[in-house]
Parts: sequence; C-alpha cells; structure tokens
Amino acid sequence: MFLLKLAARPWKTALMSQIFSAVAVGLMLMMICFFFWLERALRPLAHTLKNEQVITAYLDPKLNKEQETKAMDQIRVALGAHAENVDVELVRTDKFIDLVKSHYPSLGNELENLGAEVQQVIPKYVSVSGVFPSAVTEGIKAVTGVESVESSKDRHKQALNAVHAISLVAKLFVFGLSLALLTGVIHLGRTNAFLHRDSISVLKLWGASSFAMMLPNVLSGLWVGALGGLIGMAGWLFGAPWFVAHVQSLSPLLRRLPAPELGFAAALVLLSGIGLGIVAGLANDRTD
Amino acid sequence: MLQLDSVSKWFDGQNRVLDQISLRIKQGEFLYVTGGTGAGKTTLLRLLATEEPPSYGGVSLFGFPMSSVSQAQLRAIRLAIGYVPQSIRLIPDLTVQENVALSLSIKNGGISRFYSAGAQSRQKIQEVLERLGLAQNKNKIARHLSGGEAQRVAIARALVRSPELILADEPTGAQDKDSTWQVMDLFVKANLGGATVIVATHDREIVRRVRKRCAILKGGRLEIQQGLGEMTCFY
Repeated sequence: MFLLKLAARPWKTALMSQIFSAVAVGLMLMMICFFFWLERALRPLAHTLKNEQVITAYLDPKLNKEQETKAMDQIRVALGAHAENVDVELVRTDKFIDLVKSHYPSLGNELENLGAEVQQVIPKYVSVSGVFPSAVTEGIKAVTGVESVESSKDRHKQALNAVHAISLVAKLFVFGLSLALLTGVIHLGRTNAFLHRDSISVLKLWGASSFAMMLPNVLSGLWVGALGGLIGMAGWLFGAPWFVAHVQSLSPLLRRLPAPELGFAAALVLLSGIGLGIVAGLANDRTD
Repeated sequence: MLQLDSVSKWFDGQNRVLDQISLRIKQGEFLYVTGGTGAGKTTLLRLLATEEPPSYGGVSLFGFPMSSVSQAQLRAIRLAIGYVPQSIRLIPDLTVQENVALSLSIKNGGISRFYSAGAQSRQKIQEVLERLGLAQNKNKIARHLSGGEAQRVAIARALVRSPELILADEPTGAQDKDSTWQVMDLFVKANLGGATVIVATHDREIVRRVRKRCAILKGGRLEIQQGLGEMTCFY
C-alpha cells in the first residue's frame, strides 16, 4: 500500500496534468493506429493499380481452331503463377461484330456485309485482364500464333502517384506522432519523477532496493499509459469503422481498401499505452 | 567504526564547508557535533549518512571505505543507519504511522513487507510512537503536522529500525523543553543499548546536561575534540 500511495502522488498533486496526458496519449495512439492502417491498406491497392492491366494479344488470322486453342493454352501458361483475378477470352470476328452491334447496330451490319473480307478487316484477338507482373506481356508476345500485343499497363499512373503520396504522408504521420508521443510521455515521466524526488531520496537513504525506488515512478507512468491506452482503444473501436467508411467513400478505387482488424488493433493500442507508461517510468529512474 | 581522514567538502569548486576533518568514532560511542551556524555540522552528518561524497579525503563506515563500496554494501550500510535530517523530510502523503512503518519495512527487507507490517512490527511502531507522544496522531497525514510533531516523527522513523548508528541533525530544534528531554532520553537509551549516536546541535543546555564527547566545528575546521567528562563543549 505504501508504494501505491507513493505512486499516487502525481495524481494527487497534479491530477489534471495526469488526466490530460492520458487523453493525449489515447488520442495520439488512436491516430497512429488510423494512419498505420491507412498505410498498410494502401499497399495492396497500389500493387493492384500498378499491375492491373488488360492485355490484347492479336492472333494470326490464318490460325485454325486447334491452333487457336493451343495459343490460348500457351497464353494461360505465360501468365505465370503470380497472376491474380485473371480473365482470358478469345474474341473471334463473329463475337466482335456482335459486340459492335450491341452498341452500334448499323456499323455492325456494314461489317457483316463485307462477307469473306471481314476476316482481314477485323482481327482475331485474346483479351487477358487481371493483375500481372511486367514480364507477362513479353511472355505472351513469344507465344506461337500471336502477331502483336497491346497493354493498358499505365492507365492508373496518376492515381498510383496519388496513392504513393498518401502512403508516404501516412508513414510520416505514424513516425512523427510516435516520436511526439514518446517525447511527451518521457517528459511527463520526468515531471512525475520530480514529484517523487523527495520520497525517493528518503527511500534511498533508508537503504531501499533499486526496485523499490523505481516502482513509484514506474507505477505512476503505468497508470497514465494504461488510461491513455484505454482511451485510445475505445476511440479506435468506435471511431475506426466510421473513419474507414468515410475514407472508402472518397473514391471508387478506395472502396477496395481492406477493413481494419478492430480487436487485434485495439489490444495493441492498449498494450502500447501500458508499454509507453512503463518506458516513461524506467527512462526516468533516478535512483542511483 | 566510523573514520574520517582529512575530509574536505566544498560546493561549486569554491565554497569550502569542511576543511581537513579527521575524526574517529568508536562503536557504542555518543558524540556531539557542535558549532555555530554554517560551521559544517549538517554537511558532516550528510557525509556520514552517505548522502554526500567528500570532495577530498576518506570516509569509512563500519570498516568499509566509502570510496570503494559496492551498491550492495552501500545499501547494507544505509540499512544500519537511522538518520534524522535537519530538514526532516517526511513523505507528505503518508500518515505518521505509515512513515514510521515504511522505514521499518525497508529495514526488515523485501518488497512484500511494503504492503503489510507484521504484528511484531506494529507493536514496535506503536511503542516508539507512544514514547515520542505521537500515538494520538498516528493516523494524521504527515503534511498536516506541526514542525515539532514532524521532527518527532523523523526521530521515530530513525529509532524504530533499531539502527547501529544514529545520526541526528538538530533533533530538538523544533521541540519544547519537555519534548527535548524525551527525545534525548531515547537517544541515550539507544546508546546504552549499543547504538553509536552522533547528535549535531547548538543547544548548550543539552550538551551541559547530557555530558558526552564533543567535536567542535568552526568555519569547517575541527577545533577541539573534548574527551568525556571535560567541562565545556562550547564554541
């Protein structure tokens, strides 16, 4: 009980300072958590935007059906093991005309009226959509029966740059807030250590162990950290779904952001608060 | 048991408070350290209480030279000392009883003792508080005590641990006459029980009535070491 009473000294003499510090710890932990989630969530989105493409592989018009099937198989093989959300479709002349007809019927009819010449006018192609590594285009080019290949690889370049910028800002926020949080907590620990100074000097003269002398400051730091962690945890649990929903509503692209793991992150926020409090108490151990 | 060899202490590189003090104090001895204001009495006791290191010279306590003791030895030495500082230094948030109990708990060792004192300890604490007239105020918070009461709690805190060495810096400075003799009686009894007692005081009445060996400080220098029974310890 004696040690608890000694540890409570900052809470008796500077109650508001302890409470405001705990609230600040909680808010900063919550903000770090938001920015950390944003940075992590943008990574897969950036990967998708960078690598999502539609590859159009034009086939030799002279290929027969068997050769077309072989070419299709070779294209599928060329996509490799890392391809995601793949859709491979062979578009022949008749299918192309049907597609044109659905939007431009008269143009479709004109094309049909070309007769046998239509095979020369309208190319036969394979449309491959999905997320692929860069080397896939070259692999498809090398397939027998493929005359040329086009890719839509850089169509998201502007959006990708914006995602990289947001990701960098989020990283800077995580780093800056962590630094500010650590500095703030250590300064609070020093202020508390000053309040404990007389008691600690008396304990030292009586021959108290280092552990006993260290505990009051560690305990008072721990209480601030734990309270801050609880505030941060509550803020995250209630605020994260709202925040994430609003971020996702900013753009159709951002709708792909994965939802945060609420429970795990909340526990991490609480533990971080407790850890910070202990670190602050230990960093200000002036018992020697 | 306690030995000071050419001990000097100065602050800020210039302000010399103690100058070439050499002193030997045997186990079980009772010594007054007297002298005027600023003579260096408090600094001398702070050196003996291991609160300050000397700027020059050697201090040896219980046979251990303080310049080379380990942390564990230093802690053991501190456990054997009952120190009544001039500035009192009670822990303001604890009650009278808790201040005294905490001192005893540390002496008895073990962090678990911080949470509860055993029956024997409680009896000892009660006894010391009664002897110093503090039993009525045992649940009073230390910061609400008068100067005299706080000083007696500081004395109780030192005596309750039955120390081998008692260092008391102006222990009767804030006491009325009755309390002064009550306090001196406890120091003498502790001395008769085997404890070495060093009392820094400028109260001539105490020195005159309780005749013991004296060390007289003047301007940081040890002027006279009077033997027991000699007439004056006055400066």
